Amino acid sequence: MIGVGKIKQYSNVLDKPLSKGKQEVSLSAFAFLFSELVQYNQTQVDNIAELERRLEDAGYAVGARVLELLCHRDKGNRRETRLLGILSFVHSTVWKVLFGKVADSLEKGTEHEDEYMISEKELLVNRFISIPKDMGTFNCGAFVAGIVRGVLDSAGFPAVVTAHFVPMEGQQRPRTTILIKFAEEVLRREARLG
Amino acid sequence: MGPERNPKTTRLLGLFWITRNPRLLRAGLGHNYAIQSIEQRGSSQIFNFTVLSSRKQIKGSMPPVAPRSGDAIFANVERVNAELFTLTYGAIVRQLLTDLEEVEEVNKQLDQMGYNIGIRLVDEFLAKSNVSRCVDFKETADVIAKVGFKMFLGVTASVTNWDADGTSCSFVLEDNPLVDFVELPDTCQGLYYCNILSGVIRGALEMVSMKTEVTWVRDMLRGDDAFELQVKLLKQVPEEYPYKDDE
Amino acid sequence: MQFFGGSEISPSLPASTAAGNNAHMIYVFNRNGVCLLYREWNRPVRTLNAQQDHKLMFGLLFSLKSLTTKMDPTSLEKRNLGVPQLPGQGCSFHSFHTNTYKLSFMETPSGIKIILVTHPRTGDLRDPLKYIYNLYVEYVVKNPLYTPGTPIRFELFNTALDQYVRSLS
Repeated sequence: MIGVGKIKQYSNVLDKPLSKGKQEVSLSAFAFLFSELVQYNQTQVDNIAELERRLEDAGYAVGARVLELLCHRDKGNRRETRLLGILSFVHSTVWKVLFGKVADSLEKGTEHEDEYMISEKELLVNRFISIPKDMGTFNCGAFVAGIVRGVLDSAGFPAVVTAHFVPMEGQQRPRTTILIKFAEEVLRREARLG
Repeated sequence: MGPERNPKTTRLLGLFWITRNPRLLRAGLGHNYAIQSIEQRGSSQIFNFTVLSSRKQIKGSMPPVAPRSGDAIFANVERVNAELFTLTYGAIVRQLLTDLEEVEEVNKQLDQMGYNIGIRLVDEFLAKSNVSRCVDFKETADVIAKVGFKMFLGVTASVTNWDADGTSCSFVLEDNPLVDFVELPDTCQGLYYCNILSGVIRGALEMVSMKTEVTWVRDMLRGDDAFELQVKLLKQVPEEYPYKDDE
Repeated sequence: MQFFGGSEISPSLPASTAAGNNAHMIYVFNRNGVCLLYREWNRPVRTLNAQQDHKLMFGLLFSLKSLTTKMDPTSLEKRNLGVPQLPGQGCSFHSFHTNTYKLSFMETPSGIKIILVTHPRTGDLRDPLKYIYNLYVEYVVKNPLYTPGTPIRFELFNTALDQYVRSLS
């Protein structure tokens, strides 16, 4: 049969060589899939906070797997153990793999020692979104916040991660900021390591 | 008129009423033909004159745009890493398994989600591919395999197993970005992991007036040697006037 | 109403200019006749309520399409007037003008209908209609918060549409 010859069968998914991650699908295929994730979860919740929490959960599952995948493929199973190392891993390596570019910025919070911010002028998941007024502060970036939390948590850096719109002067669209607040234990460990 | 004004370029297909000395020409263009109509208010009566002519002859009418190939479209659209797509899909399936518990329910929900995607995605497909009509099922199936799969997933499918009366065929997938990293655990053996795809096809076809039934014939996650979806045309649904007269 | 005819364009009508806004109104319908979008820029006279107005517009297109197909001298396939067609089947018209306005029309095989009513001297709007269809795809269809078949109420789309339509000459 036509085409079938191309598919190689593996009895076990582990025998299959890990893809190099160079394959692509169209952005719209992802946009439609993501839309459906949002629409489905809208039917499961009563309020915006709950919706964001469910999107974050879905993102968490993605983040945990992204970490496994990248550590295995790109880092020879080594993993970042320092705070700044893991942050820059998220900001550059993870972002590049998932969104095709390094994140626009990585900053340390000015008011709190334990807060860091990754900002993106136009986050992929907010690309096609236009929030109707009745949905208030809803931010699809919760999904990406979940990815970040998934990566950090699985790497041993538990944190609370949230997504926020930040209006920018002279711009019609706000940028999205992913706010990372590390757990106390992470900062204590970091202090011990000096 | 026409003959006077545009003697060589208008091929007449029909002529309805005629009058002398038209003052004004107004044209209405159809896809296949053009209507040019003139109304002349004479001294005591109104003359009407209408010409049906081949639209190719009308100055300034656009040539039809040829449909674009799947490769050409895929090369030009924005793309994302397939892993983001694959892992996001994985997260959706996981969520459904947690929410719904029953594998059979998950299959249904995935199909429904696919359907919801299909009824939206069809417009993106039509806008980007320049496909201007989907009336013939065979043609449409070909376009889905060659252009549709390529432009969204970057893979091609082949169309095979046509039945004798041309109302049922199979799409065989050469590659399937949904299933990278996937192996079904024992608890999910009844799961049609890619069921979203069958829903997408069903939804998109329904929007172009074709009611279909889409079923998995082969599934590599269940040990088959390929992914094969059977698409069966149930009926073509014409567009009805949607309002009742007394509404 | 005169579909194709008309005496001279009435002198009181403002002349079309490249800089000004030539558009009167736009309608977008889905295949079930639901008006997804109605916007107007310049409509001095309104005689019907919105719902009747939308229904009348949809009915006009539906009947006119049926008529143009019936009159098609190039096609052998003849159907009785009013017999339902598949979208994209047979032939369809894409514009008509009267002495006071021009109506441009586009229908996709998925049954989305876009209607733009403009100054009678507006040029061929088939490409602009396609562009508007693309705006609809980018800003409405792909918006995760849009439920298909419901009226469009997204600022991003409305702004983009408004800017584009105002730029049409």
